[in-house]
Amino acid sequence: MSFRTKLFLVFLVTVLASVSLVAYGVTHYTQAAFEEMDAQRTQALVTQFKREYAQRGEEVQQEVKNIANADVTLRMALDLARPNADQSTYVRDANGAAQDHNLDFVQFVNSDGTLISSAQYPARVGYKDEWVTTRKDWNETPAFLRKEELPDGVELSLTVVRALPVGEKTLYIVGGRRVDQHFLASLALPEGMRALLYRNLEPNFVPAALTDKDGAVAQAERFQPLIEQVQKQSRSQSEPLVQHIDWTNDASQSETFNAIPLTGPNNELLGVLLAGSSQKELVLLTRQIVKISAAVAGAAILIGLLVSWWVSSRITRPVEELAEGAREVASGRWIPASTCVARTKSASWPPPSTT
Amino acid sequence: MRFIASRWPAATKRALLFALIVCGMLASRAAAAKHPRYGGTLRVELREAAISLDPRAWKAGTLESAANEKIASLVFDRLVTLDNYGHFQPQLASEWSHDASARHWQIRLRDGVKFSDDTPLTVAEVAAALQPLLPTGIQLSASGNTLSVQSASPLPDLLELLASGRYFVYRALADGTLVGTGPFFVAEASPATADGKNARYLLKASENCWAGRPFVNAVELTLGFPALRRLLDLQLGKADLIEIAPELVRRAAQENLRVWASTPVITFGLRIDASPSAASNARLREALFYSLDRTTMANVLLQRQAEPAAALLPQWLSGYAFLFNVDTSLERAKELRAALPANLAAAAEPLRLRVDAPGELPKLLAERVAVNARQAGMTVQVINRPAQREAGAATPPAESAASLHLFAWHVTSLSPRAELDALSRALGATESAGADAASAEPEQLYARERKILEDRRVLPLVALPEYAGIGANVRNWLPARWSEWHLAEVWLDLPESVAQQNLNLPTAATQQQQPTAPAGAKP
Repeated sequence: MSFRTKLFLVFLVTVLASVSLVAYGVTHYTQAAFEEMDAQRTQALVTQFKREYAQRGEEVQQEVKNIANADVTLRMALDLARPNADQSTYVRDANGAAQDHNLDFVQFVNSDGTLISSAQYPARVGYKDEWVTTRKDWNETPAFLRKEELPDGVELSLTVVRALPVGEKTLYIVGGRRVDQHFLASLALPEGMRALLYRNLEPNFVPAALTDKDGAVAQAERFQPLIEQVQKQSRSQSEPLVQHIDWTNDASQSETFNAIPLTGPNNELLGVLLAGSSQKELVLLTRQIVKISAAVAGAAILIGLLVSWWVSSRITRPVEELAEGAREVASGRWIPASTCVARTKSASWPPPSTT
Repeated sequence: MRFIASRWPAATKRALLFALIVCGMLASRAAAAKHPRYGGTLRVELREAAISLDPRAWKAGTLESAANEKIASLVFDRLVTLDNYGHFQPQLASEWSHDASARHWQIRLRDGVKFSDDTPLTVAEVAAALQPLLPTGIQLSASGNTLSVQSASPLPDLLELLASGRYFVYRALADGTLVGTGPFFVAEASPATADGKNARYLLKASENCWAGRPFVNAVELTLGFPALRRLLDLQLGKADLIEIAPELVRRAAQENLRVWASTPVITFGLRIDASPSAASNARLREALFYSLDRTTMANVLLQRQAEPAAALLPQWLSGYAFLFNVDTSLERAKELRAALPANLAAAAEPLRLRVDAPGELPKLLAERVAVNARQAGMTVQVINRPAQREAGAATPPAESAASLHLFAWHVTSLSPRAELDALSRALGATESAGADAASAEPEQLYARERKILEDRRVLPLVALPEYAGIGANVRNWLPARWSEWHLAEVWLDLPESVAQQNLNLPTAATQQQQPTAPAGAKP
């Protein structure tokens, strides 16, 4: 291998290594930064959901308080406190209260737990809702998640109970709003993120119980491991559960989901919020970096080739000429042809006579 | 007067005199308002979205048929009618007689009766109108001015039959239109449109009605308004007479509206298919029967606007309904259910209950049935009535698999025997071999009804009256207790200017022919 080739290779390797190092560094730090941003976004979503949840709870709390403070409710409480009160008078009052206060669920419950009026399930009027009478501190209890029984199934409700004591008797006002896809639709999410809700109403995983803001979720069974993990996890355990799902072979279609358990007043698991973050941006960015790195590396190699050829030429040519001259002098020719030629080229014409 | 004259100053006396004059004027105005007045349009709003005035097309016992009958009674007449005291009064018939066995009846027609198109009524037309409506076995024939009725079996209740239901006398014109002899005729009819416009009928007063011209000039019917809209229209004075949904009766009363209630004429009940299903198990049907809490349905859900029903025919019609007990025993229902296989009528294979009757009330009752059944350990899934299925559309599998049906039955005849016949046919009930199906005797009818009810394939739930909201300006509202409105007798308390206008500007027809009989009066 000639010196020139060796020199060329050294240059080439140096250029390639530098380009690769820079490309790797950019990719690595960008990915790390993106992942950090992604984690922050997920955290922001979770925080936002919790805030929204708390805010909705406060809204329900306020509306139920308004119902409890209304004159008509007070009159009802006074009337029902009388002996032999006609409860049938108030059968339809919950419906009106629900409409007036923009609540999905409103029920009036008597001191003994008898359902006086129900907006969501009027056919149950007359039956007992004893869970209401088991607690005494309802007026200090914030909104909580509850399974709400309806004629055609069960729904999740963000519920508030307020007690209106009249003498020895108490009228309970139970109000709530549905936690469903409309609730998800009301969440303002950053680009590339989505929220899913799993309603944990059955002991086993039910794909149909998983919804996003548009309704049913495609390939819902892919979430089964994550949901089952949440179901098994102790309620006191607060570490977030994460699952990465590749929807297709295309890595840009994958999503990472953080599971947030939603529990009832007795810490029972009633739902799971899944905050999903799309990996599309990260994958596309990485691909872009790789592409740019490849282009830069290609250009650098080409330039490196040219530069190293030129540099090697500049360094090696005088050395080669010197070696040639030395060889001629050694062969007895004191003025090497190259020198003569050079001298001849630099001399004035016609040359002076040497004789 | 001397005492007053001596003690009271002149100014006080003048004030007293003025007050007396004002009171007198007000009293005279009030008295004037009590006198019947002609004129005005009675605006009526009904629940049904469409009506049919062809009695041949009516399906007995349906709520639609009851609404049709209500409107048809304005356009058509029957041969006889029953007054609120239980006496038969002649309408198109003037007199009647029958033989000792009540198999042969002679009914003489009233003279001089004309249809609304001014053609005279003939016996042949009466026979042609009634023959397709009457049960098989009854033959009508015309001779002179007399209609002969011949039957293979005794017909002691023929007058009850002819005084109610679809037994109207009409004449079919060549284009299929039916004309009647009633107090009104259909002047305009615009059906409901796809863009949400409600069906509207304008019935104008018939000037040559045999019973005299009705007081109001016209009856404007608007159909298909929801219950709350009807109530609001009555409150706002946009309607004079409305049908009130039972769930709004209490509200209407609280808002000081005039509310009228008929006797219980609608029976809600459960019908169990004869098809093989979980419900074909007699013990399961028994358990379902005992689980039903009819008293709570009537007193709480329907806010005491209904009565718990143990019989199919209401007490006022049959006279024996009190003999059937409203038995509710959750414990007994649980016992019966516990003796059955656990997977029968369980969550995996529930009993499917289809709501056949329209409206929110039947749905509420069906949901209550499901709640009651669940308390006894049975799962009932309620399938709601489809709003409007396109012609030819397939029935969803869940609906076709329904083995329980929640039905509504509106009293269609004043004859308990005819009513029980119609009910029995409609419900597909099994009849007693021992009971005489042709007999109108209460004992036989009771035996028949007991037989229908005892295998628990038909379970009555509650009986409801019909409610009407009446505007403050509607006078002489005298309907029959079984919910037959007599709108020809109603007059409107119009503002003075409108009343004067009606007096000064009689219609052309009024000018041509003044009513010969007392206005709005019935014989």
